[in-house]
Amino acid sequence: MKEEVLLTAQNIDKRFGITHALNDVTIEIARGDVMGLIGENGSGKSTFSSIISGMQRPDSGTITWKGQEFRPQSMVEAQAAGISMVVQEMGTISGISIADNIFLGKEKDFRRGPFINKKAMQKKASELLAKVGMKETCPTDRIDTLSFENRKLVEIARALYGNPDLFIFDETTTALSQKGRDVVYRIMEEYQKENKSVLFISHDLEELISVSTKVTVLRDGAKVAVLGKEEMSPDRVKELMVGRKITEEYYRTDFDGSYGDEVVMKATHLTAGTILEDFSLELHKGEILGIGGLTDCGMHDLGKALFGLIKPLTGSVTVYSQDTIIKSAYGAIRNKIGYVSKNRDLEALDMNSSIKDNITLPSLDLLSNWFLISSQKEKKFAKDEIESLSIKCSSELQLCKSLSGGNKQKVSIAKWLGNQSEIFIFDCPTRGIDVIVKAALYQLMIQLKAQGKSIIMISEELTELIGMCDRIMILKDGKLSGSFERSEDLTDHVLIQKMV
Amino acid sequence: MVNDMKNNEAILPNDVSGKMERFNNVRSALIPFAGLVLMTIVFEVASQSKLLLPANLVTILNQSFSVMIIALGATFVFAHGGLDISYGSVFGLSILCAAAVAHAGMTALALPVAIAAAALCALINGGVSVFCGISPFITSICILFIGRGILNTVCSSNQIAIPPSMLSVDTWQTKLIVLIVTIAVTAILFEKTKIGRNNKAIGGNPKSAEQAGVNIGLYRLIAYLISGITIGIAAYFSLVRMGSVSSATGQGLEMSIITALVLGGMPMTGGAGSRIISAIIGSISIIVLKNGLIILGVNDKIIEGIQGIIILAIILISYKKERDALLS
Repeated sequence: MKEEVLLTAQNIDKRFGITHALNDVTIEIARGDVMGLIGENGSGKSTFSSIISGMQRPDSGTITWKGQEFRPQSMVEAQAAGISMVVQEMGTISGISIADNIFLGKEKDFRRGPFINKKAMQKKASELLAKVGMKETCPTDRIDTLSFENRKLVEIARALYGNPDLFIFDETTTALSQKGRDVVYRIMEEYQKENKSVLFISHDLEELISVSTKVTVLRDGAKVAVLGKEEMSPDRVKELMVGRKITEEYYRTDFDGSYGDEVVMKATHLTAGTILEDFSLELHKGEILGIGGLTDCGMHDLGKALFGLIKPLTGSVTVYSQDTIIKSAYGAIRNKIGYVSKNRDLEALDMNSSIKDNITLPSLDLLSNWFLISSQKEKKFAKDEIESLSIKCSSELQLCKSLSGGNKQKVSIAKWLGNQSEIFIFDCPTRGIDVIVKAALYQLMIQLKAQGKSIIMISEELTELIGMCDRIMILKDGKLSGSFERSEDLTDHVLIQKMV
Repeated sequence: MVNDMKNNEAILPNDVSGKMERFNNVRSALIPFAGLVLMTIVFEVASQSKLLLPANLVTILNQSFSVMIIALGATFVFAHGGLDISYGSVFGLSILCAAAVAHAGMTALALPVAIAAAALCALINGGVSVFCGISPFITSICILFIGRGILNTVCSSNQIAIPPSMLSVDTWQTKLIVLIVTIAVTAILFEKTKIGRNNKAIGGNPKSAEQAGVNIGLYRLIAYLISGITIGIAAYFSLVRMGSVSSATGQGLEMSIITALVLGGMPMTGGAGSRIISAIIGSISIIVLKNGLIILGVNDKIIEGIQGIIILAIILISYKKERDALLS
């Protein structure tokens, strides 16, 4: 039996500025396929699914849908053509009923004269809810009465409406428990039976392998392999996902993993944020300590808790001879700790403000005579940092929003260099920046280490952790799952085993 | 993830020259000033040089005094993104307290009492917003009603007048000095100290401000305190001009303050674009507009309507300019 092709994405290319999100990717989905899509963060999975579902347009390449060229201009258009997607971060709208959520934007399907036929709408809603295992739920209830997981299931019900031929789950199962996952698996089975198709994106490798009929692996925006059912093994997929990059010389070249004996920062039995539980660490003078894991393993919360931005439920963070407890960001800064957020644009910088104002904000006390801020000191401070980090800008008065991603990142790091920080917490410092700036940041970290400063580097990129850190701690589901000393033999393969 | 990528790549090109940046900065501050100059010229010509007569300038000073003093303090609150509409009532309450002590013969205490009363109201206003996490706009509506309620109750039964001797304080020379000193002090606090800087940083991005070690609650409260003090100063001088207090005292003042700030180019969300000069230019602008229309003999029943149209036009022009500046 020859497979009937439902969707062909041919040579899809997409750039966001310097980031090459998708590089000439070709994926074919046949009827009856459950196509798994896997890759590291930033490998282009979500970009691909958002192009297929009409959220974004490709720079080049063609999509063929049911044998015809297809250029969806919006999600609504793609939905009308038979492509539905459930996204990880989208959600339901609070304050309105379950039925209203399901049929949001499609109310006209139930029109009777100038009114909406609420009865017909509720009946259809009940049918859809039954499909996602929520038979007992009353569609007129307000969505707020549902648990987080059930709200996610309502989203699936919403996507099921209109009977799409291609169903895209973009990291949907991450938010679901086993019960919810079973619903998703059942829908996939039904789809297969009805000769329709599913595109399934998940970080859970075991799950992906067990439910997919084929798996496409993406790495750095390019397709590296398509595996059939018999070729899939967790080890093989992991290897393809991470790949062994050509040794980049911008990492550290030494492998001695040395650091001082003095503990400069200590976290004991820290429970904080949504998932981090009973985590302890010791950071030594002159050490680069890496924290790795999947993005929602709790490592970002850990960074915030170490800097006093979120209050731990249990445990504490202390610095130096362990008599100073960090309780707020202000306290952390006074104790010479600097923090660079993962979320540069939304958290680390005031985009509408100048480079100078951003750099000097944590150091205004240092730049004041009595209580008046000295313009000269301020200007010199900013200029010195711009020069030492070679931030590309026209002047210190340039607004941050007009800088490139890499230069923005330099500005957010410059804040902490100028005020002589001793401990740096970098959360994904190289996220979304180009290779040249990356290399500069690695050099800077090596310099800081040589000066006896200590760094905690939280990162989703394993190669960079292996390349830069004296020690690496891997988190899984909020708990420590493995700890590694610096060594030439350390491979990402070993780390991944502890992550997933 | 997709969204992050979009955000990472700024819409604007990388190398916008520094001169351009500075020029744009100055230009956005110049538009309101140019508007004021234009308006002055139009009224001066149309009124056959009556607008800038010394006597009329004193009138303009008297009329814009309260608005400007209060707007100077309000700048701190607006800078961190707090929208406050309680000015009229707090102003009225402050006058009431000052009038009460003056009425009782303690004339020397009138000014400190006016300032203390207004500062207390402003701190309650800010404190409720900061500590209970309520939108400052909502809190200020409540303060507006509570204050007006107290004024209505107290002033309905007694007419509180102050000793006539106090009226001698009301001279344009004194007011001019007070105005200049207030401008100088607020400008220094706003541009040269952590108070102004931190409030602007909070308005720009509260997350990044927090991560830079700014104590957000504390600095928001300081902004309210400064705002309260300026309301108190304005209240005292208003009392010595009017000589008594009534239930309508200060009614509608909040709208004048907000309009003045908007006309002066203050961004409603606060942040780096907030400037002290906005309060100065804006408050002179609304008074010149009103005063100019009166001089031209426009029927005072329709002045407010005309005012609304002209203000809308000015704002449309300045917003368009801002949009152009972004696109260019």
